[in-house]
Amino acid sequence: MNKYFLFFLVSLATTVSYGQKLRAVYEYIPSPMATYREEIYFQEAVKTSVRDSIPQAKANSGNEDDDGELSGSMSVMIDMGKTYRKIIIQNTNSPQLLETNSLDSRNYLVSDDFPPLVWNTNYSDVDTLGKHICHKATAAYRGTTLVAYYTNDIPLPAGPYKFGGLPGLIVMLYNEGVNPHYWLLKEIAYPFTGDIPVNKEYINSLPKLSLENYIKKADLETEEQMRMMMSKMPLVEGVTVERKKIRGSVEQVYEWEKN
Amino acid sequence: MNGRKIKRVLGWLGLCLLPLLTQAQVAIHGQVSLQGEALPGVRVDLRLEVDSQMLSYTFSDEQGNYRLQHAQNEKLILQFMALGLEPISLRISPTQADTLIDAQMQPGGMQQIQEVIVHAKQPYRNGRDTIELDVNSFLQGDERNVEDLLRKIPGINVGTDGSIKIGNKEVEKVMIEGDDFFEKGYRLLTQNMSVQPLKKIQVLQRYSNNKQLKGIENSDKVALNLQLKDDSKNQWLGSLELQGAPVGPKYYQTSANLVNFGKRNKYYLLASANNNGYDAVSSINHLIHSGSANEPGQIGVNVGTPTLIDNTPNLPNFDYRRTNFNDDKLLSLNTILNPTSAFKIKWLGFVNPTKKSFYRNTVQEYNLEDIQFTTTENYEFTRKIDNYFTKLEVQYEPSTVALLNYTGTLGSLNNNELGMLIFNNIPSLESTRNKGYLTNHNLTYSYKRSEREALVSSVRFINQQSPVDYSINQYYYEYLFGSNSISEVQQQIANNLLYLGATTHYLSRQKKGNFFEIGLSSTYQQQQFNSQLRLLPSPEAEQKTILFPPEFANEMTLRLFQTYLIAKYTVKHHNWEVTPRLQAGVVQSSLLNFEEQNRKNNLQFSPGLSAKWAIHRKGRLESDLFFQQQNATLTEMIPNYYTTGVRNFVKGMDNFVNLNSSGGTLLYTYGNMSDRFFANLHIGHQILFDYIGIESDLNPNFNLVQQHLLENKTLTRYQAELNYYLKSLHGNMRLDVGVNKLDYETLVTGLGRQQIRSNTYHYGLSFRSSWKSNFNIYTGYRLQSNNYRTAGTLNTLTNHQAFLNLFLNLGSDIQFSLKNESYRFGELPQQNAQTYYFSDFSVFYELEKYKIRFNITAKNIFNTRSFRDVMLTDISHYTTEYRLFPRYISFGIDFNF
Repeated sequence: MNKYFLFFLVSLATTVSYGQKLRAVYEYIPSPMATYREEIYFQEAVKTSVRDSIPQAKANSGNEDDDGELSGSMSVMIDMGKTYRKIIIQNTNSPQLLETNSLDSRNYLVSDDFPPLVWNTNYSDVDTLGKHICHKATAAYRGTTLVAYYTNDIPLPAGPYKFGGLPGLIVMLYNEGVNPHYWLLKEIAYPFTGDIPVNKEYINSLPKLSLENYIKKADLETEEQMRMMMSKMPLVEGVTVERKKIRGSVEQVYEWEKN
Repeated sequence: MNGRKIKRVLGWLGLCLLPLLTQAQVAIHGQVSLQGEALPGVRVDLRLEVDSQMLSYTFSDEQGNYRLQHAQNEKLILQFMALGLEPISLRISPTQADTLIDAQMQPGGMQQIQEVIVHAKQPYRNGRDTIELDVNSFLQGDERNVEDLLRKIPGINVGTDGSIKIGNKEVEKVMIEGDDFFEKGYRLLTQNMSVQPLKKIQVLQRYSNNKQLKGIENSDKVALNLQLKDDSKNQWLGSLELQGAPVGPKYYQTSANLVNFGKRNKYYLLASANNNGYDAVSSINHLIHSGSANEPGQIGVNVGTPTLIDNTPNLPNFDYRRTNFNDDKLLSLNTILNPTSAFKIKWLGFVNPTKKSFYRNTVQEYNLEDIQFTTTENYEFTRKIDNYFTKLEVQYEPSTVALLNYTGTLGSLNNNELGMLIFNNIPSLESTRNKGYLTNHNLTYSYKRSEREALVSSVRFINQQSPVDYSINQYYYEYLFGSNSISEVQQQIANNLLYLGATTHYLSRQKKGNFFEIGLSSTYQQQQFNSQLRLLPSPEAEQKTILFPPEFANEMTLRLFQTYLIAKYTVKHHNWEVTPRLQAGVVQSSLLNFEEQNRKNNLQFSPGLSAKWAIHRKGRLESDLFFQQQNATLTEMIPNYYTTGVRNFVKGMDNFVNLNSSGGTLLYTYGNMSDRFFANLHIGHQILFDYIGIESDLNPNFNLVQQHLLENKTLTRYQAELNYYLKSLHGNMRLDVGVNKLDYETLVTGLGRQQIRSNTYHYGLSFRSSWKSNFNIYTGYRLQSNNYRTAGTLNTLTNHQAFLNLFLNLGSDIQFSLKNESYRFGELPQQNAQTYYFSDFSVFYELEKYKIRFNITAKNIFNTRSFRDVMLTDISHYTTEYRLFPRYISFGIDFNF
């Protein structure tokens, strides 16, 4: 049953149907060191999000203030193996969504029973982003708090990554914490006549996993890396250091991890 | 009536009451269509007519249906909106519980959007590297202290030892309102301070100690700053630590900390005392030596008088606390005052009356052709220290781009050393008194010209006096000064320094990260060294005059005036960077020896080049090449002999020398700590074209050491550290291999020049587990082999060291650790190999609820009472035996209030 649903969702995303398509481009900034381009396509309640696998080159951003800090530190980064584009396909009327996730240089099609976001729009905060008047909304999401600014001008319940469900398109979103991930809306095109750059055969051919199984696999991998690091650290007198899990993602606590 | 019937009745009752209960809620529903066809995805929202405030919203489903609920009785607006369609606004005032409203949409409205959005505010750019967190967002009401709060913030990792990490990087400091006392000792603050007065937490990335250099200098430091509420009240908080051995030797350790942090004024008091070997002053070292020598625009940071007589035991790789029989007391008072936002005063003062003792027996053997003898020294040594030290720091910020910082210290550093000595079987009493005085003033002005340029200027003045009064009540030097009847040998040394230095640095961080720094410095340094050896006649002596051997008296003044230019430029590319650097200057020196004056002016030129290259994704290469010209130091120039202890008389070259050297290093790093395989390979080679070597005139009772200028000394170093994480054992295996090679000359009177080749090899293998279980181990073995080859003879010494540490963690509140060490020293002529075992055990139990921690520590379980260290030098070998702390068990309690 699940397989049929997945196939259906992928088909939905790639079939050109009667409604008009909107394309929004976000700048995804997971840290001061990197910025990724994320495109979302919204049509008939189905949202497809495609995030680049390599960070945007600073030189192309055209910002005079950039001073090459990316190359500045010259630090050797943690080896993430081969990385793929991240694709998310989501039907706003259904809780289940599909995403591609890579692990150990392999790409998987992961199904996520996405918990509905209960947005609190009861804020009087208004900010002008671009030419849009944006309203603040917050929601609790997997162990963190999301802060979003949406515009009523574009009445679509869409936004970056897995987020949406607000009265209008999300213009800016971040999570509260020491490592905030930012999404900034950069471009909107409507109606968008191009194709959604997703190959449904490829996605359907990927090995399938539930999010819970995927995260458990990824956590094991991270824990192994943490252990490797701990075993090389200098010994501190009389103390053993707690290995607390810190996820580099927005998500900190998943539904099955509570209690 | 059974249970099922009751449920059924209640169910019916509930159903009948439902309309009453939901009366306040009104449901509005209907269908949205376009030209008769159901229309999905249309936003339907309900607003108050008065102020357009949105009450609820939804989107029409695939059949075009929508449903909204609300509990208002006022006038409302129902709005239908979608891209490409004409919006519909309906004024409604629904009263029925179920209101049906269908909407027929028409094409129109916004047909097309082609828009590029420019965000005025960019995250990370606007606030640069500061992330600000509102404390209220994270409070859950059960936080006892700041540490508990920090644990709840995603991205902050607090270890069981209280260490705070952002990602994997430990924070430099935790400040309050920008003020800092503790630097890395911030646990005292985070584990004691309540969350009540906190308003915000700021995470400061790429932190700079000098705020005007933020974003200009290269920094990867992270710091936290806690901001307080405006109405927060000052609170006194603290901790008390008591530890004592109830049976056997009465060893104890106690300390009390008291802190009070207000928005404006902050106070920190520390009192501690112990006799279990712990150096109490080390706990405030960071307060005394705050600031870093590596920061740009600093001058004279490590300038001071040389230490002439040092009896401190030198036991590398061995816990100093095992041999340090002490009685330490420390009282320290610190305060930070902020009279205005632009003005900050930091004051520190401490007194440190301390007594340290150690017991040492040394046997030194010489076996060089005709020179063959053995010396013995049995030493019982006591040092009384009385240090008074105060430091004042004043910071003034005349504008947002300028900062004026003054630091002044004043210290009275007194040492009184008494040694009961049996030297070559003859007893004597040796006394060394130091009555030192130090004042050090530094003024730094930093000016940020733009986001990319800054200017830092500093002026420093130092006046230090470190006189030494040495005496020994035995005459061992008949062969040197004749067989007079001497009862006591005395030496008074005046060792003074006057320093004035000024520097100005210009720093510029250019686009693409290129970095340029240029500085001009001028320093004047005057060092005075007067010494005189006095031979006091014994009461039965025929001649009652005090003898002053002229070859053992000095009256010298060294003046150095240096002006130099420092420049460096870092060129960065995406995977490499190169930094050429140059230091060039003029040195004007003058040496006054009694009445005779010598002058010399010379140019010094020290270029260098360092490079970094990320060869591939995991590999990184760093290299450095340099040529250096520098002056000889004061002690290398002293014209006549002075004594540095019972046996050694030392003298310098009585001349100016310019020392030239050149070298290069290469470091290759593969992977990083979180990789399975992580390796560091290091190669270094250095040629000292000129170096200061020594000539020893060896005698059983004395050694005359004369320093000479020699040529061509080479040093070569190879070192490898290989780490491999064994998946099957869940632990890291580490292999260390190192080779040091030295080629140089030394002189021995009577034997002439000796060509020395020295090789040191070390091999180490260790394993550290990272098991999920409560139990973990860390074990290793190290072998060190040292050899000296002189004129065909080869002396070799091989020492071994092993350790096994076991850790058991029963939950977060109870931890055990057992540390075992063994040392085996190789054989020497007339000396068998000897092995020593040490074992220490400790258990910690934490009663978190009451903020109390208990511990039991057992030290030196095998009760090893002495430790014999074996060393090899180019002309001798010697063994030194130290007396050690006996076995004892102590109980401790830490309490926070």
